[in-house]
Amino acid sequence: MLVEARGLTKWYRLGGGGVVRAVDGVDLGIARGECLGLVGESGCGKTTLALLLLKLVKPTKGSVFFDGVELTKLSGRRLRRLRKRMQIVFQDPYSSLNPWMSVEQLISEPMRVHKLVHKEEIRDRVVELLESVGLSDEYLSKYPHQLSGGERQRVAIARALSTNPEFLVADEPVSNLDSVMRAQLLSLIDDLRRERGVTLLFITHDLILARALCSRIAVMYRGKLVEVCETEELFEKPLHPYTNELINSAKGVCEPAAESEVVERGCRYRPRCPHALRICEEIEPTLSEVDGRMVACHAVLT
Amino acid sequence: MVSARYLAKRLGSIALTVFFITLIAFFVVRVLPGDPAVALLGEDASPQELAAWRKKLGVDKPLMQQYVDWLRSLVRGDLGKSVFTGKPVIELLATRLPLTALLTIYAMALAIAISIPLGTLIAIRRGTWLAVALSSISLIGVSIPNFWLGIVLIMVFSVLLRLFPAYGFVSPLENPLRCLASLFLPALALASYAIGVLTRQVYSSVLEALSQDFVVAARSRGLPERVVLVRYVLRNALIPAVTMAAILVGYFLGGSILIETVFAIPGMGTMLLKSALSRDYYVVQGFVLVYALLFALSNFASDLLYTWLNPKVRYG
Amino acid sequence: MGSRILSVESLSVKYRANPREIHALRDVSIGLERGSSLGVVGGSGSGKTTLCLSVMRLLPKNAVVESGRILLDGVDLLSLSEEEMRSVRGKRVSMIFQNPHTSLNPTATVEQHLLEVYELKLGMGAGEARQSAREVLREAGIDHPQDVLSKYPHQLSGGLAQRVLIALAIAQSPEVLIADEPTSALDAVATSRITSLLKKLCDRRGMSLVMVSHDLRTVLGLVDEVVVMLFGQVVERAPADRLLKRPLHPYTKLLVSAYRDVFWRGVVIRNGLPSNRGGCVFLESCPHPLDVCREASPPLFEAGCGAVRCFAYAR
Ligand SMILES: Nc1ncnc2c1ncn2[C@@H]1O[C@H](COP(=O)(O)OP(=O)(O)OP(=O)(O)O)[C@@H](O)[C@H]1O
Ligand SMILES: Nc1ncnc2c1ncn2[C@@H]1O[C@H](COP(=O)(O)OP(=O)(O)OP(=O)(O)O)[C@@H](O)[C@H]1O
Ligand code: SF4
Ligand SMILES: [Mg+2]
Ligand SMILES: [Mg+2]
Repeated sequence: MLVEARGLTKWYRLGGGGVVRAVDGVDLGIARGECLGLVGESGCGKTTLALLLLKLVKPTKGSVFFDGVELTKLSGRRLRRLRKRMQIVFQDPYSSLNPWMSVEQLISEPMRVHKLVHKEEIRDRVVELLESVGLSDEYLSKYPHQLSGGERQRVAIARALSTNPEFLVADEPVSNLDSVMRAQLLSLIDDLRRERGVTLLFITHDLILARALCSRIAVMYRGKLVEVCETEELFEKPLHPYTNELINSAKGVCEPAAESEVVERGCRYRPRCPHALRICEEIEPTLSEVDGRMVACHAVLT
Repeated sequence: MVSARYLAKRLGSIALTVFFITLIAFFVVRVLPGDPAVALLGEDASPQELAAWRKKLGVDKPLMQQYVDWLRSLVRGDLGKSVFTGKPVIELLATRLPLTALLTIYAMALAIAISIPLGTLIAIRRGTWLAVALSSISLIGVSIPNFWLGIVLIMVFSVLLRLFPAYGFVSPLENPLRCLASLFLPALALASYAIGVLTRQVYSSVLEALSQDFVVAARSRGLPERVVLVRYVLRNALIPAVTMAAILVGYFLGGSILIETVFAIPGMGTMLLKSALSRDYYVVQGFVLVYALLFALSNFASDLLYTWLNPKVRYG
Repeated sequence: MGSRILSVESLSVKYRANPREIHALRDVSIGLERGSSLGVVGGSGSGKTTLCLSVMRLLPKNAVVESGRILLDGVDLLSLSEEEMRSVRGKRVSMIFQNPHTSLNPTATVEQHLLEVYELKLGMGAGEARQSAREVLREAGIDHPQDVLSKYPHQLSGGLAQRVLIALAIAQSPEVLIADEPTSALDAVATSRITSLLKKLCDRRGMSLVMVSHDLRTVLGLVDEVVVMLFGQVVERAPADRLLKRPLHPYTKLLVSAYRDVFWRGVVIRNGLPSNRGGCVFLESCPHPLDVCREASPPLFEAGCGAVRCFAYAR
């Protein structure tokens, strides 16, 4: 396992004294060279989990291991050394790009900070990266506010790729792109994995994308993983009722369920679940193995 | 939200800073050549007389001993007495501090009142002659030492134009309005550097805020431009500026020493200089300590302000 | 039905920038019938957002409108004073932006955003405004408004933030709603909810809709007619139901095949304007260019109930 999370938890405190359990006890391993998809509805905690894995926010509880080292305990130089090996494409490409830096500075910054490339070669490398995301060298001197939404997203991708990371988190990296450009960038990301063995965490709400790109998929619901499984198995036979709901709604088969209230006890999916049992009201199911697959659902486990 | 732990940590670090300041305040005055006995009795006093006075003033003991004694009395809240007048330092502070505080607050009020509109105007009219002219004027303050500016201001406004009194400080108790008028030039001279710095800060953050999506979005709802400017642009742009203003209070304390001297204002600064010249150890130590304390507090206030103004930090 | 509520006629817009000017819109014309809906699809950087901002008259300072007219109910918006334009924005035409998070004021709560619109633009009292804020959030698909009202933008997930923006956009009951990629930050469930919400809102309020999206799926289910943009030009116009079945322009064909197969390794599109002068903008990526395509820029040829900018079609 290149990346491993144990009991990872993040609670956000709200102004009025309330608490959002954005990520609530997640155990997850990502094997070297695999592409893991993380799917789930908006607000289920995908971004927060990604930030936790890279130690970009501090966990309330739990720990993260990167290549066997406990990331959550590191700081200073040793943390920076590891940081070089991981990169993230942020979901929101505008606020993650410094408005005072030109595209050239933005893309070359990680290379400069980590002193990865010779000074003279930096510019060539930047142009090469730009071209790989479909932008010409005319863009070098532009600033983020002069870019269209999709162009910002592509600059963010080029920036993340600049350090040749071993572990790449891509948080909805193509959400602002048209289908042609999207196909081009997905091929680029897929090639990275095939040719350079980059380990990927691909966050998306688009199941069709996840299916095309990822070898394994983790399904998240309200801060918890409810199912983790090989992609094809997942689509052939979803075990968790929430996975089923997601797949059907991606196919446009069923009407989207109404939003449901937050439960205090038992399974958090119960108010929406068609198969709820008595036990689901009392006890929260944990992620357990069934036929070599991981699922958290009483109806499947019993 | 500001947690109790954070507060405790900050207060702890302030305490530590103050401790180091006591060290500096104590030893620096003692490194200066000369001593209070000589200053008191004159160069040609006899050695016996000098020794007797030294003993009386307590400056004949070993340095460490003196320092520890001073710390001890500090903890009891006693800052010692002036060598010359015999008045307790606390009493001197009580008469001098309010004036220095008034000057500092006055300067800060001027700096804020001038730099926020100025910086905003420069940002909004960017690229025009007006903006270029205004921003060069605002830079004057950064590049000229403030006591020098003080002298220039006196020449121009009081000697040539006779708009403001040059000297002749008026106590606020006597006539508050005339007091403010008499403090105007010193406050302006003191604020000049801060005006320059703050104007630049306001300018760049307003400029950044102006190009943000949420400003365009606010306009797309047809909100009046005034509302967009105040609630969307300034509310975001002023967070760093206000934070910086609090830090600048510390700078003002230092600057006020010279300004008070140039304008002959009976504040802490004039007293401090006078005492330093006559080696009035306890007054100098006490005053330096109070300056340092105020400085640390202004930094602390700046942090709190930033947290309080910025919802992203407030609700982490 | 029948009358044109919004029409853009031969609009050209360029940005002054380094190292050279960018012609973001070149002779663009679109028309929107009252109560109907128009989809705008196209490549990344093709000028869709520029088109929307032109209608709102909110282009950035370095943009120049070179020529063209923008008629709202017969009145040219480009000729209005800034003051007159302000009463058009929000009340007659309003817009939802591409990026929900950066489009909200980070120092204001959701409630403050909404109250401001009701109080300042519609002149409501505090109580009434508060009530309306709740209602409009519910209308925008937020089932529990009280949970959201006191939150700051950074506390909202992308999906929620976009719904807040939709609420803000419909608060003043505009006649035309321009939605610039309103669903690109949403999950499949929320996307279908938002699109059906937009449809419902338009039907109920008689609002006309301009829907910009790169996602053919969201657009095609929602709108009556679609225009396809590429490098600042409209390259095809077609009824929504025809576009998927029978795309005419080679670029539209690319869009459709890549939409059907996400991994489709077809032609690589380079951004930035194509280097040739005078010829067709799609020349460099076109699979079957003709000789004439090098010499001249193709005009829009009528094609059934649509139009297409391609010499190969005209042959
Ligand atoms: N800084 C924060 N303060 C308070 N709550 C937060 C903060 N960041 C996220 N949240 C909350 O945590 C939950 C999870 O948010 P997160 O952004 O991780 O979701 P997501 O799955 O990435 O959603 P989306 O698909 O919309 O991006 C949401 O309910 C969100 O409102
Ligand atoms: N302020 C600006 N200064 C200079 N160039 C700009 C500016 N804004 C946009 N551009 C350029 O104009 C072109 C059109 O941009 P626009 O934002 O309209 O594209 P878009 O169709 O909305 O793309 P996307 O789908 O990626 O959002 C792009 O090439 C972009 O780089
Ligand atoms: S006009 Fe010519 S180059 Fe342009 S798309 Fe048609 S065939 Fe291709
Ligand atoms: Mg997210
Ligand atoms: Mg756009």
